[in-house]
Amino acid sequence: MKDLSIIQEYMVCSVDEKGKIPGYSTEKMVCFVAAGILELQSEGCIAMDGKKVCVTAGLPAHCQYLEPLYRFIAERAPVKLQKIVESYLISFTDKHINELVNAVGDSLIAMSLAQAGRPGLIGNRKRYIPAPQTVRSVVEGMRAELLEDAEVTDETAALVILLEKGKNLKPYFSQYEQKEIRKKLKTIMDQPNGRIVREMVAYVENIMVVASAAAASSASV
Amino acid sequence: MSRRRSSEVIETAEYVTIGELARLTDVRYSTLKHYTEEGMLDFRQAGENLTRQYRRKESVERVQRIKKLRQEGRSIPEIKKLLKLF
Repeated sequence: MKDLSIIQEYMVCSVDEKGKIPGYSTEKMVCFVAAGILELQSEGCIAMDGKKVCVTAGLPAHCQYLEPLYRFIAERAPVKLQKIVESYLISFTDKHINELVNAVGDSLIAMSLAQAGRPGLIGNRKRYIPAPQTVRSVVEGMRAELLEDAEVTDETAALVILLEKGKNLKPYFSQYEQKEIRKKLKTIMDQPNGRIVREMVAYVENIMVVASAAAASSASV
Repeated sequence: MSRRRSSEVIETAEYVTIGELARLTDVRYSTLKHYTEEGMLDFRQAGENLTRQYRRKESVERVQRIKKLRQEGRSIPEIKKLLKLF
C-alpha cells in the first residue's frame, strides 16, 4: 500500500492504454497542470495573490516530482497564472509540460506503480502505463469515499473535481455513479464547511477559463 | 472535510473506514460493502454521519479468510456458515 498525491493519482487515471495523456484533450492537460498547482498550494509552497502566483516556501523532499513546475514558478515569481498556463499548454516545444509529465511518471515508476510505455515517434514526452492494480486502487478509494455516507477527504474531493472537469470520470464510473458523485460534491459545496471544495471548483474553472483565453489569443496572433 | 490518512497511519490504526480497508486488502469497495451487508464483517458506526468503521486487524484477517474460501470455490452462504462456526 503506497500513498499517492493528487497529481500522481490524476495521471494514473488520465493516461490512455499507450501511457499518454491524450494531447487532443485540452481539458485533460489543463487539469494535469491544475493538479500540480493545487498540490503546490496545499503543501504551502506557493500562494495565489489575485491573478499572480508567488512562492511561499521551499519544495518538500516528498514532492520532488513537482520540481519542474515549482522551478518554473520560482524563477519567475510573482508570475501570472495565465503565463504558467500558456507556457505549459500553448507552446511550440512542449518543453515544460514534458518535464512535468516525465517527473510525475518517473516517480510512479520509482514506486513500481507504473512501467515505461513505448515512446512516440516525435517529442520528448515519455509514456507511462500504470499497473492495473494501481488504477483500481485509486478508483476504489474514490468510490468508497464518494458513494458512502462518509466524510470526503480534501484529496479525494480535489481528485474527483479534476477528473470531472477533465472529462475523465466516464471510464471508471457508471452513469448512475457519476450522478451520485456530482450530487455528493454539490451537497458538500452547499454545506458551511464546504468552502475548500467551493474554492477548488472555482480554482479549476478559473484555470480552464485562462487556458481558453490563452488559446484564443495565440490563435489570433 | 479532512486530510486523507497516510498508509503509515492506516496500517497501525485501530479502526479503518471501508475505503481504507479496500486499500489494505486490495478488495473492491462494492465487494466489502456486500460482505458487510451480508453480516460477514463487523463494524461500528461513529461520527456525525454514523460512518462505518472496521477494526483493522480483525477485518483484514476476516477478508483474507473470505478471499481464500472464495478461491477454494465456496459460495457466500457456505462461507457465512463457516465463519459462524469459528
